[in-house]
Amino acid sequence: MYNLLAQTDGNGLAKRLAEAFPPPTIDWPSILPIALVVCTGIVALIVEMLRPRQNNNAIIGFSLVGLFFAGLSLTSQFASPDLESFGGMVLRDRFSLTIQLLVVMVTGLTILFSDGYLRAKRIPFGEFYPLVLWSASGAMMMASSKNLLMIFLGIEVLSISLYVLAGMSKTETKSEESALKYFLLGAFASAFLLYGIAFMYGATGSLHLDAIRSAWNPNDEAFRNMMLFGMGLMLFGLAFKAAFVPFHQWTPDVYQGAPTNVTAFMAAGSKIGAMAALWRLLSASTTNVDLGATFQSYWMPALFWIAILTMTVGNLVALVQKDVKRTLGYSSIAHAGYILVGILAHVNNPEKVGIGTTVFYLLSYSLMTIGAFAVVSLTAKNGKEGTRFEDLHGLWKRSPFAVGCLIVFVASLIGIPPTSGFFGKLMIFNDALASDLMPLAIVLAVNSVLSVYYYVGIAKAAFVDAEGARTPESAPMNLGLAATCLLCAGGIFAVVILFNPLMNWLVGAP
Amino acid sequence: MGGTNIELIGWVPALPLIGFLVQALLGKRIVDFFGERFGKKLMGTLAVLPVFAAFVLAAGIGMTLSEMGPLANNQVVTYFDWIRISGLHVPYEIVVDPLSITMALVVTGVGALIHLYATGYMAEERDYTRFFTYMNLFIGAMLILVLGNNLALMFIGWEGVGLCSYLLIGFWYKDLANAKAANKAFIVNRIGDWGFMLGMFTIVAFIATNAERISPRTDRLLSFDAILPALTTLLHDHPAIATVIGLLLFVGAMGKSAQFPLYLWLPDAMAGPTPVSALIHAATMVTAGVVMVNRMHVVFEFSPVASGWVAIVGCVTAIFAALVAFGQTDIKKVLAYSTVSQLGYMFVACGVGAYWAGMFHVVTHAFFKALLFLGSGAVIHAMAHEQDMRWYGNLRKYVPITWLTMTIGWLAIIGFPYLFAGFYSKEAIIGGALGNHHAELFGAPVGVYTGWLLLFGALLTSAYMTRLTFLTFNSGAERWMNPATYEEAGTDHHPHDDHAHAHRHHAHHGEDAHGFFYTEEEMARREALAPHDHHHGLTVEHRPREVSPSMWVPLAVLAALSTGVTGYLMHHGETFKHWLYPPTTYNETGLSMIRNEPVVHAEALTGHPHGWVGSALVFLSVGAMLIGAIYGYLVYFRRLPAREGFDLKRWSGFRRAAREQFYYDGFMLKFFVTQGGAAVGNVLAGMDKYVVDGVVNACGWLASGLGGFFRQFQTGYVRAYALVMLIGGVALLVYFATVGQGVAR
Amino acid sequence: MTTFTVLAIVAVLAALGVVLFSSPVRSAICLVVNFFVLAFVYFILNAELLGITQIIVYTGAIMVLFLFVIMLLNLGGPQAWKERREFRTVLGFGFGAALAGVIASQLITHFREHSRPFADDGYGSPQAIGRVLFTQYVWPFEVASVLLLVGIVGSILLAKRKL
Repeated sequence: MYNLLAQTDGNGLAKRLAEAFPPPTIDWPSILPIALVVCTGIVALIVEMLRPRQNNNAIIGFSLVGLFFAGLSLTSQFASPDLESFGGMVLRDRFSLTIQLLVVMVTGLTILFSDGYLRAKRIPFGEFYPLVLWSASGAMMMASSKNLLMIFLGIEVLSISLYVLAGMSKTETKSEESALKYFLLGAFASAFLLYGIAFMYGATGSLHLDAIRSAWNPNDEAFRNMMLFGMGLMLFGLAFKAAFVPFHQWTPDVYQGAPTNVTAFMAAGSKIGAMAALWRLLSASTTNVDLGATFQSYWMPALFWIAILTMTVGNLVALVQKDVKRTLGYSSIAHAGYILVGILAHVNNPEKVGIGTTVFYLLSYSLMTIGAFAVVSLTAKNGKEGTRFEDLHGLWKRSPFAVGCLIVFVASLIGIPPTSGFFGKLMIFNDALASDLMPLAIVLAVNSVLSVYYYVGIAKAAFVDAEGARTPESAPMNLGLAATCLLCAGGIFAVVILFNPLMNWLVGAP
Repeated sequence: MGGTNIELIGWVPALPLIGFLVQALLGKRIVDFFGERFGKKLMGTLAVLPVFAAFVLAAGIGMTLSEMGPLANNQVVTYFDWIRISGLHVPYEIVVDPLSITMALVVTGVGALIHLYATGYMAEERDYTRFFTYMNLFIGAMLILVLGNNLALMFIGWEGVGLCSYLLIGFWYKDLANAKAANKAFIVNRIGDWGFMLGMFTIVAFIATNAERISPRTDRLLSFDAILPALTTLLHDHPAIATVIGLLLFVGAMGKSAQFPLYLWLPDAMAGPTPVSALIHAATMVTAGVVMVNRMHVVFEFSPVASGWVAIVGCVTAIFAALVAFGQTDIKKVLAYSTVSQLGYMFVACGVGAYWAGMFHVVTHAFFKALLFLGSGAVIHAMAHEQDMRWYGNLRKYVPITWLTMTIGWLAIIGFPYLFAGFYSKEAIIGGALGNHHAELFGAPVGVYTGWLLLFGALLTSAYMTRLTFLTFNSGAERWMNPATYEEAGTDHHPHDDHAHAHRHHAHHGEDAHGFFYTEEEMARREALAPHDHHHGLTVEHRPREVSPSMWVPLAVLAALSTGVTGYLMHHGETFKHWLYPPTTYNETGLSMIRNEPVVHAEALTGHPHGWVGSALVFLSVGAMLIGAIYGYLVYFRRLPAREGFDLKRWSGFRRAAREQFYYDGFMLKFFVTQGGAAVGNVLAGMDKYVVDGVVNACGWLASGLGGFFRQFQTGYVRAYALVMLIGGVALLVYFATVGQGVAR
Repeated sequence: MTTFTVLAIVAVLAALGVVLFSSPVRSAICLVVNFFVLAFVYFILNAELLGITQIIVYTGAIMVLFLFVIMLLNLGGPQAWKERREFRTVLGFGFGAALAGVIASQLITHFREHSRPFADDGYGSPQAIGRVLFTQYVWPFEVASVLLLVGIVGSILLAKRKL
């Protein structure tokens, strides 16, 4: 049967081939956004090759146009029906489209403010842009599949680009150090993830989450143990990417060491990807079949505690940081905890709690995080960058607009109404209550109060007058940075004002 | 105008917001384009116009509303959906009812006047358009607060005005004191916000859990027209919940309206420009708490306990702030404490169930306190930005218009009988309190006690306001012309100047100017960096001049509004009371808001006391006013300046204590910021050191104790991290293995 | 079964050698052995193509490159990777062993019940793999090429000091 070519007699070869190699159903539009982003990266690389050591405006322009079209193709598919193609490797549904759109947005915002920063930091590589684009494509792949193989490949594309990006600043050893740290620990976590996937495959004979879900049978002990270990090991890997406690320790170091624009992308784009994959995995790992114990009854308590730990440790440690980027790193850990609460609320009660909360929170989180890092990137000058709190001193005088935006971002990170951060937290709180996760809701509320202290500290630092010669004069405000700040700050309010139309469009009518 | 369409109400908040956008986006360009002089004039006009237009529109709608009669005067205009998540629907909707329209008129009316005034006052300011950007935004946010038909919109406005207040207090951000005052306002207000938010959540949770009992069912769980009837039905059986909600909402009101434990930020907020003090920190924003309590009065109706606390806190605030005012020499500070005190009056009114009287005082207070602040601004303007009253004297000779209008304001606030507006509203409050049986704590009718205390408060008000007016405008000597004054004051004299960004924390403010964020060293460092740029504008040769018409015209209008005509019109025949709480819809008492329900405390809720108190009230309050005024005149104007002069060291203990707010602020600072901050910091530092790294390190210590084969403690960080991850992973798997076994058995 | 046992013991020993040898050359050679033995394990599981690919790609190409690089950089000195025996190492070993122990203790009894631990004939044949690779797995296949591209560009970017 498989030495089929030997049987061919020249008669109807094509037909026989088609029988033997049944082509998968192919839905080109559903991979178009990813393909666009990847190809944009390739072309950007070629442009860099053709015009080495010149300014990167052409690359930036090209990247933004590519992202724009990717966004456009995503937007045009919102009306299309849910569909799996490429042999179940690519899935198009609301969630995948929305998350991909978020990733495209985040990438665009990052690229927008990168040029000035890279210049100030004396990082002469035009390859930054293709790598960011490819990294983004990895995150998009993670969101657009229910197949564990694709999720793994997506994570690797995302991560390997990020390892390189983190080490791009050659003038600073801490950048290279952070890249190495990220790489080693990331490889460690990837191994676990892969091991977990192998277990799942071994238990069910499939890599597709739907198949895995329908295969669940708690009464077969071997099967159950393999599934549980598979789940545990995969959670290890994904928790690393999403920076949950106790898999979080790389976050502050890498965030601090990596160039700030990369950090912004890491904090937003990479987290979106990881959360999307986690959401897929968890929502597919729920069963309510009448076979005794449901799958989620096993792993839910573990994630419950991870969520509590993540929120609390992230915020507590952030309180004593002296470096803005580290603080924001810990803050991103805390936010990962909040998002996890949202995901758990959905998983616990999918009828009552939809995907809206997670999507909205990711959107608002990306806007405020990228904005905050964009403002912090202003401290770079002459290849150096000071990111301690003192280095923000006097920023108010140098670029009041950026500081004005910083206040908005900080307010949103704290969760002060009427910013999107407030609504995001409120929705998570609401969802947690709706799906009987009261303790998580309370921990979340307590933690938001806790976080006020260090966030206000960031805003305050920008207002204190500069003193001494320690602080590098910051780079002048450039157009890209201003645009990023404006878009992020405007977006924080816009998503609140347009809450209902936006949510209807993104996740469908409630 | 009588036929103004109610649907147009959306334009009332929209107009100032459009003005805000114009100022923010085009302001600087236009000023640059047309040049300093004309550009500023143009932008000033563009700032006043939208507010004034909003006022005209609101007035038209108000007339339409008054013609509609009490049964139909609660209209809701819905614009579009905002939030629609499972079980909760929050549209953008505006309520048009007497309460909202009254506040809209006050905000836009007084707002327009103050904008006009500010065009003159801020004329020399470099960041002219930035100022009006914030001011227009403030008006817009305040209108959303009062007009929004749900708690969410109200809260947006609530935060919006807070933001504008923060921005405007810190308008001269280069001045340390201003930045600190702004920070203080920010932080103290957060406490209030949490109260408000928790109250909001409690309401939603409460209604949602009892959804089956209300009809018609609704998921607009924050909209007033839906929840007020629902709460009326539900709270009947749950007085405890009413108390919880009431107290939480009141905590919110305490923050915004500067009630006793949380009043701290308001006096410091006077660091902002004077029009801001008049508009935000006297006339409008700080009364938001009163408006909110009026809006949510149903809750308080059902909870005598919560009402009792409202009355007590209001009363304590009224007396405490009045006492502190005696120790202040800065003219704006006196007015600030006076504002805090008057806000206390309004809350007492709300606590004792005389909600309309609280609103009445909101309106009259908006007129006369705005007048007083603007007048003080005019004085400061005329006196080369000196704010210390000890340098004034005999100013009526130089600024007659200001003197005249300020005198009207003074007579209004001390409650000069019948001829001035303050008399009517204050009498309504005290009368309501004395006749109260609503507020009740531990069985005691606290309302009545507060009524008597407020009479005493009226005496105090009268005394310190008399002191202010006479020290400023009267007395034969122009003290700033007297060299002896300078000598006597010595180093103590740093003309406070909100334009010159003076750094003076040691002389005039004492501890209270310390912000929450700066340690002593930081302050010292900053002081050294930015040397005092006092411009000693006030010299012996200084001759004050009357301010320009753009500044005194608003004064005159406000003075006219502060006269008894306003008060009489509103008070006569209980016009205002019936406008807000029509007797046909509500009970004849005018105060029981529980629709279609038997009156809860029928005789208890009457607006005026019965018996001898009722008839004697006028005499009592006039007596208090007269005693206060005479006492203030004799002691604080005649006797003390002559005896003690300007040396703070010779002040009596009482007034030195009052000057320092009876050490309350310093205590709070020390307790919460210095001590508390250090403790929290230590704990957290410990957390970082021991809990996070500790997992690894502790294992190390354990091992070295056991075997000693571990000697050097050199951390390869990556390995340590990997180890922690591994431990986490093992824990995860062991857990899974255990639960797997557990379920199998 | 005996074949497997022998192979498994060799593989585990080689893997330990990778970790424990202090000289990078020896570690790399141990890795070669390990990969090689793993290829044989694939063979006895009836996955010939996988085994051959393992030998060609990993043992042949990648490991030779490794050795080249190590020798070119002259990292051969025994002092280069001298490590202290610190407690963390022991702890790491302990928890690694615990991880293996947990998994093994829960699963090994169940796996012993399987009598035929190998695939059907032809399961891993080149034709079969080719067929799924270019039909069902065509998208992951393409994505893997993106991954490789990222790897190439990234390594050049990190390595180049001056272009």
